[in-house]
Amino acid sequence: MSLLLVIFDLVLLAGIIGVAWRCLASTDLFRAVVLFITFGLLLALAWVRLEAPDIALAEAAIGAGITGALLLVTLERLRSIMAERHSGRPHTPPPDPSGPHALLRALHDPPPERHSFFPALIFALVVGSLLVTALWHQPQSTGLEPVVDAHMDVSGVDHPITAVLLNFRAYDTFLELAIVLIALLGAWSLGRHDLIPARPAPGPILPGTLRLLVPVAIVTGVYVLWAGSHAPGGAFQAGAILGAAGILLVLARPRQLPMAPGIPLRLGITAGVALFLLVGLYGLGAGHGFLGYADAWAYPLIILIEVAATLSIALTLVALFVAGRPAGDDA
Amino acid sequence: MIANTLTVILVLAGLVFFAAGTAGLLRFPDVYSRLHALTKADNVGLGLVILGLMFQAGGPADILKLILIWVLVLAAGTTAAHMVAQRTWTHGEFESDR
Amino acid sequence: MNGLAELAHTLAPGLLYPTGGAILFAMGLYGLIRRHHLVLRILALNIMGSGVFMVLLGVAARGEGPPDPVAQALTLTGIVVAVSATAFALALVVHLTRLTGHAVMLPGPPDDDAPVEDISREEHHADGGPAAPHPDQDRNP
Repeated sequence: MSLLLVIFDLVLLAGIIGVAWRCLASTDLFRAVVLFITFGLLLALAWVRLEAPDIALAEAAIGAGITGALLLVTLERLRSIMAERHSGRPHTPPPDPSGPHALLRALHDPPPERHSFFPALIFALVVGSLLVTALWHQPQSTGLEPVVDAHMDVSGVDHPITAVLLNFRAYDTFLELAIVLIALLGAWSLGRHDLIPARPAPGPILPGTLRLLVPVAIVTGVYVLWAGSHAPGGAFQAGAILGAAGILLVLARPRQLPMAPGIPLRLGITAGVALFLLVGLYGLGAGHGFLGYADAWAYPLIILIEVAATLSIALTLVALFVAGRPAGDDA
Repeated sequence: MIANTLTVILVLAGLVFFAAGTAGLLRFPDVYSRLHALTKADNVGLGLVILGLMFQAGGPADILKLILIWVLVLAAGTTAAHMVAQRTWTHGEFESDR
Repeated sequence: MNGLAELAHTLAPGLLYPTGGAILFAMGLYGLIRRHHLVLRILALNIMGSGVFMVLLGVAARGEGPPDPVAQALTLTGIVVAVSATAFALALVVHLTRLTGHAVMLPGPPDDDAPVEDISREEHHADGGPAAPHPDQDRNP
């Protein structure tokens, strides 16, 4: 049995490393992105093997799904920008017969030149072997698992990772939400010049599927959020699922984007950070320290923060996909 | 014991379909036949794997979740295959495909 | 038999996966140095990050009991931060391409003969509210 597991580990690792290598060595950007998505899905398998189902969920939804969508839409944007510049006149569709192939060539990266081969190889080898050496000589320890286990009864939830994320190390999660918000502000600061350059597929198939998928995605998102208090799941995975549903909706009809009104959109995007901050300040005032909860209030407060964080993450992911400030907003 | 045997047999049968689909994906000449190999084989393969796993489920809720996974993959796979085929029909194959 | 036990210890997931993570990190570093297209560099950075996650989770899974939840929570945070940083970086790449016409970072000092008037025109276009919707862009074939 153990031998089979070792073989599985070795095959999986070989697959992950091989896909990563093909991705990095690819001269075609589209191929590189597709390989990267594959890489993320294989990683999710590895996380399951390492007994981290929460991380596997997040990796499949965020690492492979959302990142993949962002990369693909970026390639499409780059392609349309290049097409505009090459055709000389802006906003003219390129001649179509030779179109796709000529344009796809804009998304090529020539293989790297010879002279950087040995320096890069030696540098990577040195760093890699130093890392391996350090990792192989680490002392064995049980980590923080016993400590977390001993304090589970005061955490307010039954799932250790949610307890760590939203109680024991809530400060990390607060800053993480702030980083998500800052990334969106950074993207918005670059202007409001981006339409989604996707051409929606004609025909009833995609809208029909969406009519099936989006309600299921909403129910699944809420379920994953609720499950986070006692089983793998939580705000980030739920936010990613809802965000993916939003991205699908945007993709299905990019021309008729329901213009989210500015103020509610902004409130939704900042809800996670704002509520987290309020709860933290309340804890400070009530004498539990910043981001500390009274034991009896831990569960409702965690759920409240998680709901707000889910909303914020979902909205932010869709906004990052759309990129650029909402139109009709002259701030 | 019977449940375990059924699980092993069904999952193995599913894996055969997966292997066949992957071989088709790698070996077939153009986008359409590759899609054919991929979606047909994977849907049956996943169906068999899920059917096998149902014998290991802890209760009706788990069985429902497994069925839900299968239905979602069917819907998503069908749509994705349709869109890839449509893209190929209107724009031609990607040059990098070969 | 002793050698076999030693080998089994070496191939335990707690050691195998961190090694794989280190390899991924080094590969990402290699790609980051050698490739010039910015999207590929972002991919290389993401692969390096995945290597770090693999080290963290592999080390967390060491030993007998359940894995270390703190390291797992840290990885979860890391994944969300990575996707945010990637999204911002991709937005920067799109903007750079809009301004300069390429998304490639070439070695050497910055390119001084980049068309300056071109940049101003593009910037004007970028902020020129009503001009933003491209009427021809949804070319349905």
